[in-house]
Amino acid sequence: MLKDELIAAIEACDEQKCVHLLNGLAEAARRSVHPSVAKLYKDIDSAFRKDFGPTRSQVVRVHTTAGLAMLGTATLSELKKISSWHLHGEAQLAILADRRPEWLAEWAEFELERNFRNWTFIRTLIRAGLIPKPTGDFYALGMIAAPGRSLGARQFLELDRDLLNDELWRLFQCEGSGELSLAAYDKYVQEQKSWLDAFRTMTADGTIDRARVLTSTLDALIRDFAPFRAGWYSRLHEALKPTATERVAHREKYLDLLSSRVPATVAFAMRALIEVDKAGAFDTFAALDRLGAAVDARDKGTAERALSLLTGAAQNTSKEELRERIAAVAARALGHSSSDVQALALGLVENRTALLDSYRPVLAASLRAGLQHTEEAHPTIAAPLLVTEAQHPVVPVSEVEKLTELFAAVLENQGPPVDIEQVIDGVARISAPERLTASLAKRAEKLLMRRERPQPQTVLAQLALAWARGYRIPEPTAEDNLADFLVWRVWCVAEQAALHQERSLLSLPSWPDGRIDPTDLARRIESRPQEDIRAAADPASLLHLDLIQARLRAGADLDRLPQPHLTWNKETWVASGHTYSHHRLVLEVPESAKRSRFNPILLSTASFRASLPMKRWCATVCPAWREGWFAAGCHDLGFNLDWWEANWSTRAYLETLVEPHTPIGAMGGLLLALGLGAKEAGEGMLAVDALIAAVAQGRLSGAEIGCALIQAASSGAIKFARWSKQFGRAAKAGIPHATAIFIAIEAFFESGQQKEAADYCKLVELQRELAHQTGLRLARPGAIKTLESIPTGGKTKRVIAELLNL
Amino acid sequence: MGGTLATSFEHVDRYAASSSVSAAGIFLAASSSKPSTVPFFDGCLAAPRRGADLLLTLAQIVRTRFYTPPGMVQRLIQQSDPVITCGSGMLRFEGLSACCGVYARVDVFGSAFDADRLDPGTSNVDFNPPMRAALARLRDGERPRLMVSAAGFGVVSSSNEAFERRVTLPTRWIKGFVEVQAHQARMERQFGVSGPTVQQFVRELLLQRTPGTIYISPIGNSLRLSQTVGRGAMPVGGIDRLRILTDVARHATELEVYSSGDGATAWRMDTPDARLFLVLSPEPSRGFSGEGQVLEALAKGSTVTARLRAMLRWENGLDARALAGQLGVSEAEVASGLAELGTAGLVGYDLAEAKYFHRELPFDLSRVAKHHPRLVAARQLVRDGYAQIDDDGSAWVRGKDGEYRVRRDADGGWTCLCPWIAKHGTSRGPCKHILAVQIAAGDVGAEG
Repeated sequence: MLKDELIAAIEACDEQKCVHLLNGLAEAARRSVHPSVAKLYKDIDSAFRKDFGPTRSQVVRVHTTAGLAMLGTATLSELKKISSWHLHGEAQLAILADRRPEWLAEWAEFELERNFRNWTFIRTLIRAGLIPKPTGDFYALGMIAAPGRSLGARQFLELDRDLLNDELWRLFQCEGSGELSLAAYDKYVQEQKSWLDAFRTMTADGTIDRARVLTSTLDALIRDFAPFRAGWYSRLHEALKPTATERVAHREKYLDLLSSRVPATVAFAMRALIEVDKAGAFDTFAALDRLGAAVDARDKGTAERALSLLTGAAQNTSKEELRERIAAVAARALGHSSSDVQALALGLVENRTALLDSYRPVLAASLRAGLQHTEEAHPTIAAPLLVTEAQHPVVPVSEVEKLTELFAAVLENQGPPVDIEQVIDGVARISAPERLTASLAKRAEKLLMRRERPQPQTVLAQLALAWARGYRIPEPTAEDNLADFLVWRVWCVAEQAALHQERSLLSLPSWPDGRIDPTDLARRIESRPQEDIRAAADPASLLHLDLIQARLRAGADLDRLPQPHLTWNKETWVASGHTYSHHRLVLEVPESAKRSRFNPILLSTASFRASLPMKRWCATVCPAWREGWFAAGCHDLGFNLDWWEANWSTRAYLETLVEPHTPIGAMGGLLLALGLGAKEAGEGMLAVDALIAAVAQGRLSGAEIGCALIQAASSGAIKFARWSKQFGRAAKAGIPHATAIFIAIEAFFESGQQKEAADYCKLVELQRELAHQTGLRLARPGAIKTLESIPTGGKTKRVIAELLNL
Repeated sequence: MGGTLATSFEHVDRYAASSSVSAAGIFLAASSSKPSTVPFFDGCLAAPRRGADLLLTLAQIVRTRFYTPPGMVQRLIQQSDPVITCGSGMLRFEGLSACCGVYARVDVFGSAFDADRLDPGTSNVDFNPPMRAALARLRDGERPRLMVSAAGFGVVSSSNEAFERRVTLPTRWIKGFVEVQAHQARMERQFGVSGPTVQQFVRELLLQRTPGTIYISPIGNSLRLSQTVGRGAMPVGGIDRLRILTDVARHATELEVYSSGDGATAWRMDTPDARLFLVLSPEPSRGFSGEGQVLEALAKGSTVTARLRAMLRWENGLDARALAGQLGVSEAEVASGLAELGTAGLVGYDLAEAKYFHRELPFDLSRVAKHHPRLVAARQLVRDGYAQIDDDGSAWVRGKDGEYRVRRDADGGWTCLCPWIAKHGTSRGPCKHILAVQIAAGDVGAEG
């Protein structure tokens, strides 16, 4: 019977038998066997998904054969329901060629859309005349990946030259997405196998029409493709090295592309138009409106090129009306972030007040100084922006319901630190009603069962169980860093809670930053039973760490502070012909005692891995002396200035620099300088916040900042371009900030450090702007000598001269 | 009420022709189930480059997923076409990003066009790639005709055949579209900047790519970005999403910023004859659909919803206070009714005017409006008798991990001990336990 024979053929992986059995069958006969085939396919498909054992290859063969039978018996909707599969081979083609269902074209489009890797098989159907060419984008796009790893794109096209007539040109109309685009494909293949190389070589030898390729690339660029995918077309265009004549012929398209939303396309078009101009075929006045878009471009080079065309046109006309039009277009560049672009635009706008007025606030200080209205040279800047100093005193939680809610919140959010401290304090004083805390305990249990057990969530969950159910949690073992200290502290409170000992703690901060008012602490000590105070002095007591913590937060016990020492270390290595280097800071604490939980001051100098919430909590351990903490921060940040790894916890160190009561010494200053040189934008932004706050609050002077810059730059790890940007942002906060930064940079110049760095000029440019903003001038002979000794030319020389001659 | 809540539904846009641009003008095809022989709008654009830039930005937002959940391996969801509303001398184009986290609206004022025809109505419009490419080429100095019509267009066009676009829209996307109106209604202006500062601010965003929450504060006529809370600073989550303003910032005369204190922010960019609104969800990973801001209003219902519905009439300036006066009810009752109409897609909110406007979203919202999972779950808790209210008004509600204590805090707000409220507070609306207590106590309606 057909059904039985077919099933047997499938189970025997006999594809030829399947084809033979289905050959010539009427549709009704196919449908009659389909239920059995479908059932078998379902069972085999299940095994195909799960069985990766020794029989895997057999499973795959049976699955393929079953798929054949499905192709020969299923309807279109039934085929759509089975999972995507790899179509290939003569047998599948034979089945479909024999059956020729009316829905074959629709099925082909469907298969292409859900798995573009079936393109080769679909193409086979087309070449066999079984289906017309699909009209959907996936037919064109699927071709991109069809060469596979073995063939190059050129080779692939040579094997099917019919594709050169139509499909090839559809590639300029379909954007693609994800991995399926020309840009994505070429990124991961060798150049000689790429599509770009295929187009280039076929154009060079006349296989395809060069003019059509050039035009098609520009037509593709106007299609609003995403930047990554659009870039392929501009690269192809340039790879063909258009001649001057060809550039001129495409002038209007280049002009249209100036309005592109892709910055790289605008830059490409602008460079092409410069070539058109050099060929003497560019009428700037006719293109004025469209050039405006290029003048607006974020890219400095693009804006400068557009302005150069405008400048040329302005110089070649004496008609005031035309010069006005040029000025109106050029004025759009006055808001550019580059002062060089602004300067070019200003040269065209001149003193046209109506055009200038709205841009005055955003002009560089050095340019404002040259304007006719002299009061603009030193504009009144708004009062310095201060980070809020208002901190609300911490109030102990008094109600058990509020305590439970707070506990539930810190358990989920692992902070903020002040809430954690309030919870610990509350747990020590207030017993846990069973009904109220049952859900909290349940939640804590669930969290502890997870594979990932971050801190402080884990120790807080343990505390919850100790409080709510009297569980005894294991005693910690590590004593290497501040996180370990805090875990020990919580363990002590958990022990008390498990033993139902209700006792007030001493260590609840008075303020969110961790400080305890000394009078608060004195009052707390006085109100405690004397035996508790005596017991707390014993290191074996559960109260001892609480006392240590309280005293540190009140600013006591700060004698014999450790002296952390940092040294820069540079590692260099060579790989694939390139030299790489990495800077790191080595942190040492000479002559220190062994680390223990009883000496958190020493523990604060330890660099350690922890989550951001944990580090934020650790920052509250010793608010009165943070140099050790900052030294650890310098170690971590110095290792990761260029963001080699995504270590988000480092920001906890920078955040403490912002706090208004944090004294900033040498380590804090160095941390700030490193933060300003960090690549990760959040760290840089935090450093700017800290700088603004510290200067405004008098915690850091220009001279101190200068010392920090010198120490940071001694590594050679700092990119001065980053410093320049961040200092520029900080300077906008007010004249006191700009002044402090000016003094700091002057001191840095005087040190003579790293003056050969390629981006040293960025600091010089910044200093020039600061000079205009503040009215200050370089006065230190050493700084002047450093700048005069820099062997340079061009723009750097001009800026140095300008600064020295102010 | 039982059964499974639909997580998505198919929406069909039927276009008599594709949108196109030719020498004769811009034809925006409007979707309609009924063939129409007259256009919504027919007129000339006064500043075509500016209008094109604004519409292209909107089209880009609708196509963009600003956040892709980890492990998302399926095809990106399809997105709906932008929605256009004509009424009271104005054109409004609205859209929601594919991730449900950015709502955009372009209001084109009457001064931006000379209209031969402006009939009230709402429809999807076809923003196909050729249309977008052609919009990119528009230049000032021209006065292209703009027609928005559900009819076929007699302009020469290479692709003017009727077609359907079927998209599978997640229910959460529709909910996001309606939820965002409730956010806006609670927002207040924080600060503003003008002129070239807007462009400089947007460029600054391009230079500083930062995850997490950024704080923005005005300093002089500029805006400072900070990582630290400061006096007068406003938190903005996912500020990188504002980079979408890059191509339109040069048209800005003003940028006004609003927030509601719950993390959502609105950015109103004024140009001489149009306005662009962007409303950002508190974080890129949070779309507007799950924010739960209308839950209590939905649960409670309003006695004046039907009467409000009759007063809409394609008005652009529906003021809650004025409506309350006309209806003789409290402003709170009207606000509740407008929130209900908002969830039915019948009103949007105009932040600039602090008023609602009538439009009728072209989606089938009957399956969405009342089937909010949290509300459904809350009602079920009440029906099962799991909400036990004490004499003092606080309650115990049985959840999957035991009982949760629900009570009012010192500020009069509600708290609950469930992990969801523990993590988020009520910033995303009440949890089902709180809603259950409110329903059981008679504060809100028990039935939908």
